[in-house]
Amino acid sequence: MIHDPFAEGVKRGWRVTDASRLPGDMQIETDIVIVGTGAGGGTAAEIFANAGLHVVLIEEGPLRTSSDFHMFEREAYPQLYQESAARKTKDKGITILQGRAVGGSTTVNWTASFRTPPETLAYWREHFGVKVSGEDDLTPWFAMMERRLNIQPWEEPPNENNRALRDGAARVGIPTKVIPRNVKGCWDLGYCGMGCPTNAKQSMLVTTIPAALAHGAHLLTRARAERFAFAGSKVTALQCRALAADGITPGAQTITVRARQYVLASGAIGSPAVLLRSGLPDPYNLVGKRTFLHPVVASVALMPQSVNAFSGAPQSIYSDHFLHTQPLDGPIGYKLEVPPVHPLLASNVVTGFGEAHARLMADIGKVQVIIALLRDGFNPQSPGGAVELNGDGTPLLDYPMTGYLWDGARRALHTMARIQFAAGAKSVLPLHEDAVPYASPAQAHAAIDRFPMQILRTRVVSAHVMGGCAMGEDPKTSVVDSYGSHHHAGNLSVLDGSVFPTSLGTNPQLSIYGLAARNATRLARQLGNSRTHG
Amino acid sequence: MLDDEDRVIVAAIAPVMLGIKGTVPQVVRGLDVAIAGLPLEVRAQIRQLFGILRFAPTRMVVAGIWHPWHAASQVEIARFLSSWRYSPVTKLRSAYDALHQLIMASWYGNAVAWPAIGYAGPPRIG
Ligand SMILES: Cc1cc2nc3c(=O)[nH]c(=O)nc-3n(C[C@H](O)[C@H](O)[C@H](O)COP(=O)(O)OP(=O)(O)OC[C@H]3O[C@@H](n4cnc5c(N)ncnc54)[C@H](O)[C@@H]3O)c2cc1C
Ligand code: SF4
Repeated sequence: MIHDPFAEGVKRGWRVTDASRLPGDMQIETDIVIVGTGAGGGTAAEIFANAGLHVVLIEEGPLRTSSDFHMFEREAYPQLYQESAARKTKDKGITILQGRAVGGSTTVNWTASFRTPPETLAYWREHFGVKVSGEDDLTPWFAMMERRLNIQPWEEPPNENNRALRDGAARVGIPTKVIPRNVKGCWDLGYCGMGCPTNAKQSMLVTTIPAALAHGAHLLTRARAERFAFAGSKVTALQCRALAADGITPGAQTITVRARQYVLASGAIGSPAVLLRSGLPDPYNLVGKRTFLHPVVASVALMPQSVNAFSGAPQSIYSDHFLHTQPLDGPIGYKLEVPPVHPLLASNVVTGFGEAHARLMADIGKVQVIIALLRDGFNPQSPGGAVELNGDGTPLLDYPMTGYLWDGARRALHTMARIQFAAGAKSVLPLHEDAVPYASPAQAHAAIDRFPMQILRTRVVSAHVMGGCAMGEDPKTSVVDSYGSHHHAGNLSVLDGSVFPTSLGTNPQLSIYGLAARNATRLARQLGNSRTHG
Repeated sequence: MLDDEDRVIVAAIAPVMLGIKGTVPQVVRGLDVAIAGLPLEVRAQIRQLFGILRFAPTRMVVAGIWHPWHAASQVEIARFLSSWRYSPVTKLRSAYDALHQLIMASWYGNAVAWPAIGYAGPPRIG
């Protein structure tokens, strides 16, 4: 039996409340309430709890721990993801993967861990007046979180899926590197996206949140933060609603939390949604705007040998080559990686139906997939999306794909096909409804040149939602300051991936950990060591 | 969420979507479960889609299916799926995509589908 330290902690008396079972309304007083338990919320919780502050965590998703992680997609997606891993943009053009459980997206992410690229930080300084200087003030925080989460370049050999990216790229002169991962004693199983069954992944679920609970923090699950009450220039309370047992439908009970400090860490889309529902001052109409996705296009290769891309560390090789072939604000650049390939998700993203689709699925063991992540947000033609609210208050992201993005998508499809043929692919299927598997590079490139680039024709997905509460020093262009403090509500901070004013150009988790650690540490110092409530 | 009339539609479309012979009761059941995991707003949109497929006039005009679902031929259903897949109307492409997603997920998420594709299921641990 693999041990389940979280379940054991709960048995020992950690304070965890499943709000869907509350007998009545609840009132809580605390020093700090944190909404969301993902990369930002988890990191902040540990720091506040270590500083002796009383912390309450509010999480919309359920608590699921290693003994619940059976590596079945049909269980994991409905339990651990927003909208059963089928969240869509408003026009349904892009599928969005986001976590929704204790640990947030870190419970289901693929463990790639990169520092914020220096050129991204420089762009924020120059264009948004963000006070960060990569070298001086973020580097030590990245280093601290790398130690905390055991982040190191993956030392085992890459699985076949990653190896094909490395070798194919090398043959066409594209350099690749090894990905650092946040794992400790990883079994190399490849099921990180369904919750790590061995607790090897150093997600918030097994690191910072247990540490905060061990210090007396109180975690409420299946509790949705609805809105902040606001008076003068301060938040006066946080109103939450318990969810029903299905975890989706709103329940009858409410939870009111009064705190000295309110921290929003519901992730991109989630954090702006709470602000929009609250009607907090937003004089320049910025909340939810500039939400970015790193829109992803993908290419499927059929290899002569087995690849078994469902097995082995999902991401261990990457290439940033096409982030540096043009200026940062020029034609859009893209990062190359591979995804894990499990049957349910693969069957969904593979285009077409009937026999053609079934034939490809029958060869799933020989399928190799490359993805290109477009670095959105650095050019006027890439303003990002806007978060809106549905009639029932749930969020919806309107993210139109622009010609600028499609140009990058087409270039990326060419690049990926080239690498896959160089890696020995028998055929390549760019994920577009007009595509068929092409047996030669010439056929593939000719076809890619002709594809009409439209939504629901070109497959586009995202697992990196960022922005919507942009940070900066000017309230005319930003929602929070460089430390995450809300420009119009003195006791409210946003500490998650929604504060980025552009996309990152790299997988987000370590950027969120580092920034949240810096900002939470400063906030904890300001609040002082006062355990006023118990 | 689905009633008998909806289930007849799913039972007709699923084998054509999946490209497999025979009936797939697992998909019909799986779809119900999959839809229950979606937010209320999306469930309402799916309800609307089934409404279009059920109501004979829209079934004929919008989907081009001239026979009741239980009598529609595979060729007719394949033609319907293709017409929505390549429709210039974004909403129809997204309706096709929703059917694609729900049916594929209900089938390939189920262990009965795995032997045919050579997926052994998750490794045994502990
Ligand atoms: C499948 C997948 C793979 C990924 N792979 C990688 C990777 O390899 N490397 C990497 O760097 N990044 C990866 N990411 C992205 C990364 O995990 C996220 O960018 C990061 O976790 C975001 O942190 P966050 O704190 O902003 O939000 P999240 O981690 O998403 O946490 C937000 C939390 O807030 C909760 N919440 C939302 N609204 C409310 C509300 N109203 N009330 C209460 N709670 C609420 C949500 O349920 C969620 O638990 C991946 C993401 C996914 C989905
Ligand atoms: S690959 Fe490693 S980190 Fe991922 S699920 Fe398997 S054991 Fe956990």
